[in-house]
Amino acid sequence: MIYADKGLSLFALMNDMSDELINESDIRGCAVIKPKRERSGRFSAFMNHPAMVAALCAVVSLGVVVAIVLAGRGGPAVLPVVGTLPTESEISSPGEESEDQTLTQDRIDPDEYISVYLELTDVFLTLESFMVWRESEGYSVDGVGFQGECNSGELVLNCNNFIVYILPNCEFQSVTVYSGSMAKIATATEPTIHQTLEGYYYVALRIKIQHDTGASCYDYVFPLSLCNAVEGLNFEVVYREETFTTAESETSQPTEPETRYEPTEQVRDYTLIPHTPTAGINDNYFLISMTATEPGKALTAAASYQLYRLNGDEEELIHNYDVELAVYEEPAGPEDYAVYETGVSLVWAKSNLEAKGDTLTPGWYRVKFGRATLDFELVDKTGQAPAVHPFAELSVPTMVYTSMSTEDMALYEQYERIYTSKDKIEKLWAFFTKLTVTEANPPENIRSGDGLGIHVTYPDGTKGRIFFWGEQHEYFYIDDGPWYQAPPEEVAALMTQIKNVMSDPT
Amino acid sequence: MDEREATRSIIALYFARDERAIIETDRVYGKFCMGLSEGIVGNHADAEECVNDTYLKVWNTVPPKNPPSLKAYLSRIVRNLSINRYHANRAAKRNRDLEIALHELEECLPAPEEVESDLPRLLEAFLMSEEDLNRKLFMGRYWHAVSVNDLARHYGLTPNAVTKRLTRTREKLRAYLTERGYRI
Repeated sequence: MIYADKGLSLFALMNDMSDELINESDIRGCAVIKPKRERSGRFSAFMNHPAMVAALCAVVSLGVVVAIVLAGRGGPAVLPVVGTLPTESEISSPGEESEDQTLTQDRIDPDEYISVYLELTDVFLTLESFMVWRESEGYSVDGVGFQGECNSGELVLNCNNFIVYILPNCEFQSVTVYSGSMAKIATATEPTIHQTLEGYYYVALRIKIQHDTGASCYDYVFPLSLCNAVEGLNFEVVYREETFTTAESETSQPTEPETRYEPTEQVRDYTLIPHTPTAGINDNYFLISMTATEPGKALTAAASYQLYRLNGDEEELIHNYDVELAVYEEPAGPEDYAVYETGVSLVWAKSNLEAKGDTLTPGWYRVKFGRATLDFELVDKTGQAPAVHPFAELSVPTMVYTSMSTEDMALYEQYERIYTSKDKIEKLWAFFTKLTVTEANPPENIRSGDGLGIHVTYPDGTKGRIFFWGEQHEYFYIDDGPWYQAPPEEVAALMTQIKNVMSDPT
Repeated sequence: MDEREATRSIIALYFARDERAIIETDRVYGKFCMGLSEGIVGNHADAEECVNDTYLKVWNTVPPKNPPSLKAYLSRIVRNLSINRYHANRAAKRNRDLEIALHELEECLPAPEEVESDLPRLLEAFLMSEEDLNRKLFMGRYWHAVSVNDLARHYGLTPNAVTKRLTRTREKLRAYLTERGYRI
């Protein structure tokens, strides 16, 4: 494609470069390590980076001054740092250039990528999504987080969740905090360290990972800056080195951890809002939506939630579920689906529960997510008349047909949750569809048990969706309202309406 | 799992029309695609949309396409979509870093209408004759739209050193093409 300006056209034309060139030059999949003897140039480059200097100035100008406070432990535990991090004397003087070309030969596998995401809310500093990809060793992890909190001048780094969440065969060794000039401030063998820091600094997390052939310790070092935190930048680890390798007699294969990440006290409060306040046991699936107590705040990373059956005051744990849900952003606008903007949806299908041997009976249930709980009632809706719905008043100028199985519902919900604007959701509908509005396949071709969802436009111009569920599509909900059960003739009428629109998409 | 294995296993899901293909694509390549798109469009929201559209395009084209490298295939699509988005948004939002990169390209490459079908081959031939680091810096800057600062940090160089190397490479490329009769 030729664009109006030469530069953009040339940029686009480069798309035809070979796979090898493209993959070879991808730096987003690489973390850089540097041999001990060649550290100085890199850190010099980093330390003297204009952004870092600007960050320091900004910190001062923001008045974020913190004092050094040591945790009440009689001083930090002193560990022998096994010569992995540079001392001040190894840092080059400002302005020195380093064009060390041997770095390229020391780079680790392209599949390995380590980064730290940073978020700062007021003085609440959260380190999230410390991701360790170790695909070259047969397993990969993501979404691992350790959280820090900086209130009133104190920074708390809590590395606990890192270990619990993903890597069953890794062991926390120590965490060390370094000043921006790489002077060691404190170190601890506990996963939590309390420190207060000025400007920018480095955190070194030492982890022992069990491989098939033995164990290795790795220092993962990453820079943190309160100023950069405001911008929510990602930080690549600047330095990682294997500190020692021990041969151990027992080997272990990575196994699926029995427990997943548990939210810590830093997890923000949630309010659980039942999407289906009175879920029917006849329903094929039910949905509980949660919103953050403060709408608009980004939620933390994945956690687990628990479903209990209530017998009076007693809780009977049914299941511990992993929340396979993405953190998502602030609402894009009032027209977006509110339940998905700031909340997390817990979705489980009846068939999935039954597959695990659970039998749902009418009664009260409780779901817990972090410190939030919701009690809801499952009722038997057999024989209940469906609610009245304004099918006859719908105008459907545009529609996308989709076909989804029960098991895919959670997937749909997950994707819908990530994207909040209407046009994006319409694209998602199209994405999942086997048919588009331009195709003539009638709705009868959908598979038994499939769900059917359609976008509709109401007479007042607002948009919504109707989602059908059940073997005969007899269950449905409109927008985010409660579930209805429609008699067959009403479903048939809507199907006819859908067919008419699909055969005449104009 | 290396790139070839990842491609094979995920492509198999596309061929089976198994929607887990998208989950796996996002899991393995989502961050890469987002980074690539953000480098071009300059903001997260547009990048998110470009990546989502990329997944849709992959779903609609695989099969019958069977790319040997899914990563490279995704790269091209997300890059194309991002360029289109950048172009559309240009009046309102400028990605200064990309603008500079485009300007640099203009200075060392002939107009596309002169070499439209040959330029990628010519570039490849030139780059393959260059030393590793220079080649990767060039591709990193002008294909992956990575900033000079990020390139510097990644390769352990100062930004100044990266800029110098890119400048030298562009000068050599300009001379290379001029020798072959192209007007820059």
